[in-house]
Amino acid sequence: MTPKLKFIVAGVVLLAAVGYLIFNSVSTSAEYYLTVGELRSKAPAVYSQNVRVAGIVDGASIVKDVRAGTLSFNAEDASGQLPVVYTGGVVPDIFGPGIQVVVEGKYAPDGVFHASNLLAQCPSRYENAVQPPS
Amino acid sequence: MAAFGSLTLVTAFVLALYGFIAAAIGARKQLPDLVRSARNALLAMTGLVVLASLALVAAFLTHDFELSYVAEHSSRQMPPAYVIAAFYSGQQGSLVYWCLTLSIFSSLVVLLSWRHNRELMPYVVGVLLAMQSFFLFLLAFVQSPFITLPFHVDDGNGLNPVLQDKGMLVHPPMMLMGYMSWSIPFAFAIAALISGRLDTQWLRSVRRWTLAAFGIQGIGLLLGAWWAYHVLGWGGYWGWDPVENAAFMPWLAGTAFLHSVMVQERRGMLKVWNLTLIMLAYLLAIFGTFIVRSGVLNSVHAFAQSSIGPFFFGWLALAIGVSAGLLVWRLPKLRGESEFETLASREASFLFNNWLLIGCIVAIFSGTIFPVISEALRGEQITVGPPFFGAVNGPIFLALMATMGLGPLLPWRRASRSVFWRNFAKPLTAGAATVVILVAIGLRNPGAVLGWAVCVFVLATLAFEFYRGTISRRRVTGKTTLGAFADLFAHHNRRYGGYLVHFGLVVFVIAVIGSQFYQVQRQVTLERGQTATIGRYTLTFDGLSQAADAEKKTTFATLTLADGSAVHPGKSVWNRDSSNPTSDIVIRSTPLEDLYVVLGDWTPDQSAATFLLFVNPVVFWLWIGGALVIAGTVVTAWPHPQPRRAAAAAHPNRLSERPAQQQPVGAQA
Repeated sequence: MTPKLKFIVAGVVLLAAVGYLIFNSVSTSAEYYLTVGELRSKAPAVYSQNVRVAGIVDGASIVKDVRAGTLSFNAEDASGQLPVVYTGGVVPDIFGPGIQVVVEGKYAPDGVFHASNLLAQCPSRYENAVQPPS
Repeated sequence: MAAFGSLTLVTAFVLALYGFIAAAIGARKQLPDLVRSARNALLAMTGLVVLASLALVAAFLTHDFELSYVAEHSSRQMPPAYVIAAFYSGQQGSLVYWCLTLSIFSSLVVLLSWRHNRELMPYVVGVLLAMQSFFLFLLAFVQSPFITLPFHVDDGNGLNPVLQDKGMLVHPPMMLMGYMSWSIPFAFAIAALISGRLDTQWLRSVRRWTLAAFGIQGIGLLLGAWWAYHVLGWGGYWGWDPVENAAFMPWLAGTAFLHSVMVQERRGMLKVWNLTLIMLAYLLAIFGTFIVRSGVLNSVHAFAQSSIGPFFFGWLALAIGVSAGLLVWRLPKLRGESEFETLASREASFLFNNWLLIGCIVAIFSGTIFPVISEALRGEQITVGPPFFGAVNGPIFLALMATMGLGPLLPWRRASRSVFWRNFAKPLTAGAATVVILVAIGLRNPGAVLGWAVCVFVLATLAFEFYRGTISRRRVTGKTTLGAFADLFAHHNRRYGGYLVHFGLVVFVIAVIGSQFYQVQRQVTLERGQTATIGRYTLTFDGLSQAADAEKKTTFATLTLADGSAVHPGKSVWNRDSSNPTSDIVIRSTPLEDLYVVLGDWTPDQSAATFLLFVNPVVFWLWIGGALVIAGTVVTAWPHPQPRRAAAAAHPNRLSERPAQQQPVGAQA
């Protein structure tokens, strides 16, 4: 082989390896990122899959059971409410009423979302407009 | 203050725009007076941007809540340090800060390199001023920090409590400066392309600026990891979040450039590639700035979703178009001067290093924008989480580490079989021995065993290089071993500084492998008096107590360890913002492992509480390794003209001509 050909072969092998890694990992770790409404519409198909769902926390629905280590609440958007039971552990500090959360886990046929992971997005308060004094 | 600030920004914008046009015409038509005028405009513009920044800081310190930006981001109770930090905590302020650092860097470029880059400088000044014009336009007309509130408020919103941490004082300024600093090499690359001065001159001018960018963004990334580790309470330091990825990618591109540039200096090859890499670093920096400000991607970081997204997108598109267009236009002038000869050579190892780094960037980029692509193609958002990034980048990093061990010991052009084995027999043995030892002590995870073995291999090659260098230096100078060792850094700072960076990186990777593969995590709910065990620690929960200061009320837990000492993880509720509690995490760090304790929730009667416990092995060395990388970068970039001049004189064919000694344009000013 000429040196040039060797380099081309080495490059192609490397490229193929990286491509394979990406392809392979995508197929094992890809998850749907859905709204509450989209989750409902996919209902029977997504029962067995890990999915991520975004919603706003309904403050009135928050129930914490410290001893059992569970947190349940309803995540809502314009299409309705989704009961969530989170058993993944410590709750992010900024979790609370009206906060945008992303829950990761499985949707069960009983209509409850069993979350193993709970991400809370920093509230827009960080960039909130100042309100006039009332 | 508002009127003064706005006026300053508008004037700075006009100056930058004037300077850009003057530089462009002056360079094109060879009018030294006009070029000099552009240079002066740049310096004056810098002065104005400094003034505008000082005005904004003064507005914060005097609690001038007439300014909407000040009222949004600070309050009277905040400690002065955070009041100043609030300056760059929001959209507008961070743009002011970007502009400030870019103008200071630009002025430094003009003041330090004017003499040495007579032909390039008019274009460099032009490009830098074009960038400034863009940012100043945004600040003056789209997102001014000097907008006033239509009503009066007694106090401001304050800074988000989670941002009121020491990390806020150091991480954002470093990170933003890191993003910004890729502008300088980019400006030189564009200048080289337009002017047609495509020899190694522009590379040598740009090397230190690229090292600076590499170091600054490296510090920014490290501080970000440290901040996340100490504050966020999930036991980790890196989460492959879009924001982190966005900051990591320019750094990877810059790293590739710093390596491949040596091939061009030495052998006149990879000219197009080098230009592409350094432009890519800048484009990725702008891309990162765009995605973190546009709301295109979801992230756990707080972003302003604002109107400036489209502007950044436009700027990015323009920069891509100009870079690609110039590169294609100049292709005929960018022929390599020699060819690659064998795979077993220094230049080939640099090439592999580059391909792997590009592979990393491609993987991280595609993973980051995967939701956007899937939405466009299939109408549904699909995300790939941290497992994707780990699975793809793990093997690539492993190969990169192996290249790091191989490259420095391979000779240029070609390595004979005997040289290869002479250099690598011992390091390879050390690596193989590591596998045997790790398996013998019971480690079975292939990723960890292989990873650590490669690390030991690299350490052995580095030790070999340092040993060889010290011995030969001792023979030449007659100094003591220690003196000769120190001499290596003083006289060959570029080479041994680079090795120090490699050494730091190996230490860093050893820590990453340990903490990724062997982290132990437990969540426990303890009644008062109950004990939990994690790793070799037992913790007994002795109850909760309260403390308060002017700003917040904190609930502490007392957990007693087996040796009688106690740790006090807590949670603070801030007076101004009770919906945003912050965690006070306890980290007991030893060189062997960190014990990491987070207080979760507790029952209303305070008789039971939930804790998240981690044992994170060898994280201590992550920070040490990172510090060594930075130290090595400083050593490598340290100005050291004498030996390099001598080298240039001795090998005139290797490096391009020495800096122009003629009277430079505009030097009289």
